[in-house]
Amino acid sequence: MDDDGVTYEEFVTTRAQTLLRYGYVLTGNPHDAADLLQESLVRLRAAWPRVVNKRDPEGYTRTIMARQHISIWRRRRRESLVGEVPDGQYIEPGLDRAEHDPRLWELLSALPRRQRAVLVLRYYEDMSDAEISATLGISRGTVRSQAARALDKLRTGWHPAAERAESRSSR
Amino acid sequence: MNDELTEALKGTLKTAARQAPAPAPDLLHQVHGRHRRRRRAQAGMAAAAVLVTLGGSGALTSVLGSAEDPARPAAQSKPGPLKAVTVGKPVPVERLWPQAVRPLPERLPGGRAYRAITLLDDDTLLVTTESSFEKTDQILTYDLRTRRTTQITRTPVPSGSDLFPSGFSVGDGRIAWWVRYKQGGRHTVEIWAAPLSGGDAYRVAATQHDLSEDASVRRLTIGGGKVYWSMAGRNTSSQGVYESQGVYEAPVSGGGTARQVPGTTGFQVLAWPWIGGPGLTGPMDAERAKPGEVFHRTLRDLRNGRTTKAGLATIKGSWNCGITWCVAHKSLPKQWSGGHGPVPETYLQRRDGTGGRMFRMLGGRRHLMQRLDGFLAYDRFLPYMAEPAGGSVQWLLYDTQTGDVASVAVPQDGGGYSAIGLFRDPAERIVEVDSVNGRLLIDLAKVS
Repeated sequence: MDDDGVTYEEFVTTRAQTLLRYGYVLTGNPHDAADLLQESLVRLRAAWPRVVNKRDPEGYTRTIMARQHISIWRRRRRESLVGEVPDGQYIEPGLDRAEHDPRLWELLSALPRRQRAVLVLRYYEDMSDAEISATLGISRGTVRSQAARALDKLRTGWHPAAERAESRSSR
Repeated sequence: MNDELTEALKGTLKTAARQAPAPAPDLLHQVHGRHRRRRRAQAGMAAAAVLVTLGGSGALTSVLGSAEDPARPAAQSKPGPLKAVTVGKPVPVERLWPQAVRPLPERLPGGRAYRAITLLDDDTLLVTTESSFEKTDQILTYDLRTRRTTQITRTPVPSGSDLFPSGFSVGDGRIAWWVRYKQGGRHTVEIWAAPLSGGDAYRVAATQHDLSEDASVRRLTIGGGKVYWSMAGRNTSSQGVYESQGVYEAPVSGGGTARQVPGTTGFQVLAWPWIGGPGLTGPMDAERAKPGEVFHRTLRDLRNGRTTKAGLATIKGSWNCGITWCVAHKSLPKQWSGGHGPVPETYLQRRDGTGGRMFRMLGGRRHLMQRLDGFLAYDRFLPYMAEPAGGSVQWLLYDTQTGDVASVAVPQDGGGYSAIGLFRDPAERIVEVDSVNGRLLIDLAKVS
């Protein structure tokens, strides 16, 4: 029993900070992040013997964190999941500069939880839409429509004038 | 179509992640507690189900046996053994945990000297400056990346103070500290606080004590809208025996009065939300302790009053428990200063009786255990001093998780060494070191 405990504990000790960062970008505030992490680790504890044999406790934990976060939202409000699938591709240029945009961070907090989760998985976790769909247990079409809606909302509230002008000229 | 926006989004998320708080040092403890409570509830339901479907008493017993009785803390199950382990050779901290070590400036921009208190997030260091020796006059943040300082507040020093602002502790968006002065022949302890977002410092509460000159607030912590603190000192009317007067509380927003938390006589604050009893109150407690005595054996959760008791292996010596781990060591030989005699053994075990081990530090000639409060730093690292054969005294941190040993401060060329501010951080997350490479910060939250 102790061996299992130590392994689980090692996992928690070594990964807690990274998971808390993930929780923080998912939830947008430190208290919810800590809560989400704790709740997910409790679930992981119960599932540990199963999970550890399946090689990827971290992936499992990240998945329950994302799902858990959304399910809390689901209980609070309902949203129609039917959306249109946007055309076009998303370009994901490599990230060279890590700049903080407080306005964008604030706009993120106004998004419904699932939309935010989709963006976090796509742009923080660098997941493909297929991976996001598997992680959240929703269809790929929904992933794309949720992402498109979220980006629309962000774009409306986000006004980097110079960059917009630059993007128009490059198009 | 979206590339500037998505790039900005990536940058914002990545930077925000860096600002995430550090995990609570007692995270594991909290998770285990929640897991146990849930399992108990589930075992109750499972037992009922078994009864219905099987009706077999054997099955029922085994289900119940696997759950923990709520009335019986986990600690009373039989503690595991103390396994002998060998501690490896110390590795310089910069090599062992490079991701945890960051350079600190000698002085703040503008040239003022400072003390590091704790990290508020990955990059924001809480610091204090002093107008004269130990007389703190300002609390600021210093951004390790941008190297900018921002003032949080000034710390007024009440006239007649003999212990200046100390014990800075952070929680609930505030910072709190204490000062001491004499009034009418009695020691008065005042608790002060200020919003972390910046603003004037205000008085939270005051208490008066008939305690000796060395009486002070042992620890102070903030949580659930309150400041909690515990005192230790010799009672002037009781033959100089150290005693703990219990845990006090007052609303951190100010405007309230201090009161003793009921039933906490003999308890000391560990870290929100934990207090422990019987508390270690004076520097000589460990020497006076009876064999088998366990300091902080009872751990109490301030949020709900729930307690658990440590269940530990029997040793010749006294245990000293923090939130998760307990530490003990064999009594020091009498002719200690000569450096001869047997090498003392050190013992570690978790409160719940798991993870027990015994070892001889370095296997070297001798080691000097720091007595401090008996805590592991960050609920994980055992700090100690050692003098390996042929070497000179150095500061080390033993990692209970990995068994690694980091040397955090090695003697400098002139023979001096220093690990300053080893335990100034109430969260015990940071260790500040003066090394040959300059002033360094070790962020224990970054040790993977």
